[in-house]
Amino acid sequence: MRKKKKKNLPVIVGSVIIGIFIVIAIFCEQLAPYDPAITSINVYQRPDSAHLLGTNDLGQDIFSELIYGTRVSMLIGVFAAVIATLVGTTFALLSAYYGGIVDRLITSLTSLAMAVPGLALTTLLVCYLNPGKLSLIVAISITSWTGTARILRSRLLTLMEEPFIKIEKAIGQKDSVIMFKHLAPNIKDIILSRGAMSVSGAMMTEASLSFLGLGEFGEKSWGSILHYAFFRNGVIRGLYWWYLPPIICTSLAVLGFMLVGYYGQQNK
Amino acid sequence: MLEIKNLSVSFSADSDVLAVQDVTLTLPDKGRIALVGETGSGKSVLLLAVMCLLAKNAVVTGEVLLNGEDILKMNRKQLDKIRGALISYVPQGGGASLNPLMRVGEQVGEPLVEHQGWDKKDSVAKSVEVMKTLNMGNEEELAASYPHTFSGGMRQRAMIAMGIIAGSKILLADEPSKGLDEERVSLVVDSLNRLTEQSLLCVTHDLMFASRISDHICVLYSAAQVEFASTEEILNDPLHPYTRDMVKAIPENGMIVDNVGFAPSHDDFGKGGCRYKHRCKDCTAKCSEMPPLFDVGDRKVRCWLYEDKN
Amino acid sequence: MPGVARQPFGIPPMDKKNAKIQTARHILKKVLTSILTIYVIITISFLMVHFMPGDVIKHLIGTEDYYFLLENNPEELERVITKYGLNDPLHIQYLKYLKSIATMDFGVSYNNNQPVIYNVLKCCKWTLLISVPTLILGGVFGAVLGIIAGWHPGGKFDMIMTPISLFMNTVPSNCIGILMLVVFSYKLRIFPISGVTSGMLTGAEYVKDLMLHMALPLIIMVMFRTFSDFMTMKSSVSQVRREDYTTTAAAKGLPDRKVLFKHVMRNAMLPYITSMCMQMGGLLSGSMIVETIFGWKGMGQLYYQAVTNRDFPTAQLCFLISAVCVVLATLLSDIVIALIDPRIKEKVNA
Repeated sequence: MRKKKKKNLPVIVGSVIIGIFIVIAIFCEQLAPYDPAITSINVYQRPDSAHLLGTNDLGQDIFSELIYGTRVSMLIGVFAAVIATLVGTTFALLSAYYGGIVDRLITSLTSLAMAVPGLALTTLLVCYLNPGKLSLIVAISITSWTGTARILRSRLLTLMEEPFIKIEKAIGQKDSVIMFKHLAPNIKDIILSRGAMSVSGAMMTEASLSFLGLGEFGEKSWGSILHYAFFRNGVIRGLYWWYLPPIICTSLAVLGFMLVGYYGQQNK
Repeated sequence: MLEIKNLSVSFSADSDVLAVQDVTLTLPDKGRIALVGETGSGKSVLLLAVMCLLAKNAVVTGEVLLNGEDILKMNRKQLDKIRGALISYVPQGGGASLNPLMRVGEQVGEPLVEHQGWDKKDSVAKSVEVMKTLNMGNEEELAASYPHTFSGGMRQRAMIAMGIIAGSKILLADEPSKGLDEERVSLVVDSLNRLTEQSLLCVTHDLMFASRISDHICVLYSAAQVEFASTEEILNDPLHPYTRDMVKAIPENGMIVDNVGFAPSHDDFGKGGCRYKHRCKDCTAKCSEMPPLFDVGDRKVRCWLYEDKN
Repeated sequence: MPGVARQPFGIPPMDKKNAKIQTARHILKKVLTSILTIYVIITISFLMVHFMPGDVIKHLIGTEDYYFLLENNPEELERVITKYGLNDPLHIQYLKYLKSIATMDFGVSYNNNQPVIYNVLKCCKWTLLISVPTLILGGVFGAVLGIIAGWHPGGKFDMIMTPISLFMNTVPSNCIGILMLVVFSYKLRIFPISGVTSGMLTGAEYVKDLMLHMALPLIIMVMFRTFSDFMTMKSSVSQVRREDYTTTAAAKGLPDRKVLFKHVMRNAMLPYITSMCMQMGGLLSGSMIVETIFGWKGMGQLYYQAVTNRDFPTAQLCFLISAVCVVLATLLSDIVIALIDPRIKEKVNA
């Protein structure tokens, strides 16, 4: 038992990090001291007791921005990952179960989607669609389901050779029952860990896009805060309380999901 | 000559669970011993321990004397000199037992290149020659092709060729009949029986296969050696209750299953007593203590039934 | 295991000539697939413009210009619409689009009125200047470190390197980029802040200046690449290490070094080569963030500026070029693997 616990330590650490960020995301109204949208004349203030992380070029409280940013970043990351994982899993199930023409179609679709440079397409899509949370989620998930689909498909193909699946097929069990009652539960660990990895990937993409100024600007995400810090001279002027916190938050959150995903898979 | 003395293997220092317990065995020159036991009885671990090929976490105690020198005390350099040259391990010919990216001839000839400094081309030619002595058929083409085109039996025999090519006189074969159909098992038996110069220590779960290739059989049960005798004696007059039950279960004897229950889990190993006591019909109160290896004539049996015949 | 025990005993394995034909057929198939993929991507990029929400003309000339022309100069707007052939039926537009791509006529950039292809090729040079060294250096460092860690999984080196590289893989590249910029350019003033060169320099001075400008973006990219290649190589080596043929090789009396180089490495290189080829597909498009931060005038920055300025001809060409690169890289990896791995043809036929 002792050994097992030790092995899962990274997963526990990752879960704690994720948990903290989720709590912050849910309770940002209660946690944030100010409304992050409200501007004031106190611009470029250093951190003090009134403004824990100072203020930005418009006099907005950076600490509150950061807390609200948690909600935006987490929302986009998690939703994009959920969509990508769902799409990937569905394709993998259909492809591995039916084989033949379905499999070939889905496999070619997957390799086609893999041939498209992810960040470039996402950037282009975000630009065509109107910037906003929804288009970010769509643009991120449209390129990120391929990895999950490939890995799950190969796992499912070996599973399809297992006697218990063959028996179910032989006794004429319904396809949907086999897929969701027998196949899906056997790969749920991989799905979960791939899901966690997808969240970290999606959050990184979101951070990059928002940093490039292609993100959500009504409500700033961490990436957008960094965008302003960089493009409005926060970095050049050395206002570290402006650009450091979003960097730390993004890295921590991504690390949390990565730990859960990577070490969760390792134990299998 | 290979002498194994009190060899025990466990996979962590503080654990009393032994994968191999106190095995003592002598393989004379040109001798042929089959180690027979059910799956999980520690047979393969025993071979790997003799070759010093176990992972680093394995704790091996006892002595393995090769012509009087203890293999277990050798450093890696000394080991590299004897492996494949004096003593060869013939792995199970499973799908991944040969490097998929190298031609078979090259792999079979590799010990020659390593131990005797042959160049690659000559070693491949020699491998064709050795495969011919094993009567594999189409040897030239086999040597030039890649392992994935081989059937299980072919791969197994290529491994045997690899074992003897550098003149090694001791062969340790790991389950050469596993996963093969009867025809291919016969071909492997044929190849093994063509090795008149070498001594053979062969691990198998198949008593019938063991009887076709060996002159002596050592029976293992749950990591411990329970009986050692000549092949005829084991087949016609088994002494240990486990051996008796096993012999009854072969087709010629009517495939009677006469023991009870299942093999104990590995956690049970450390708790002492005869390992077979859970399934043995002749079990007595004395069996809660581990019997020593009794000598009955030139045979060895680990069972209290033979205490007074010692 | 495909191919195992499938062959009845005694039938000779595939002869060499046959194997060559099969390899050629396999490669031809991959080439055709790649051409098809490129065609599909070209079509998708056409459809993307025409089926996105909103008016096509707004995408093509930008929303602001659209409203400006609509209010001040409706004739001009109509002329532009006709110029793009937006009044034609969709399939005619599609054919025209295909023709323009076939004749390498990608239009004129809205930004500087130069032919788009000229702008793009100019930027390619700068991107390759940092992405090729990244590929090579990162590939070599990652491979060496990965082999050391994978050869002794759970050893000290592995226990230190794996968490570090896992962490490095989680820090978004813009974050590290900004931090390095702050430390080395603003605080320590070792490296210039942005751009490709300071200009007005020739000869050795020019090279030195260029190197200084290159240093930070290159270091960051090599670092990221090294850590991700490290993970690839490590998992590949530690997996091959557990294979039976590694034990077989050691049992023959091969010293560790030969087991590693002759048996383990050869097999572990297969996935690594695939990954390296795939990275070649990202040579032009993989450095967008770093280029933007350091003002490096490469493809990434060109693309980013094209997208933010709604310079669609440029953006579209950049996108097409990156996609074609990825497809060609995939093709390259397929061919290389088919030449190295004798099992591939079997898998194709099975």
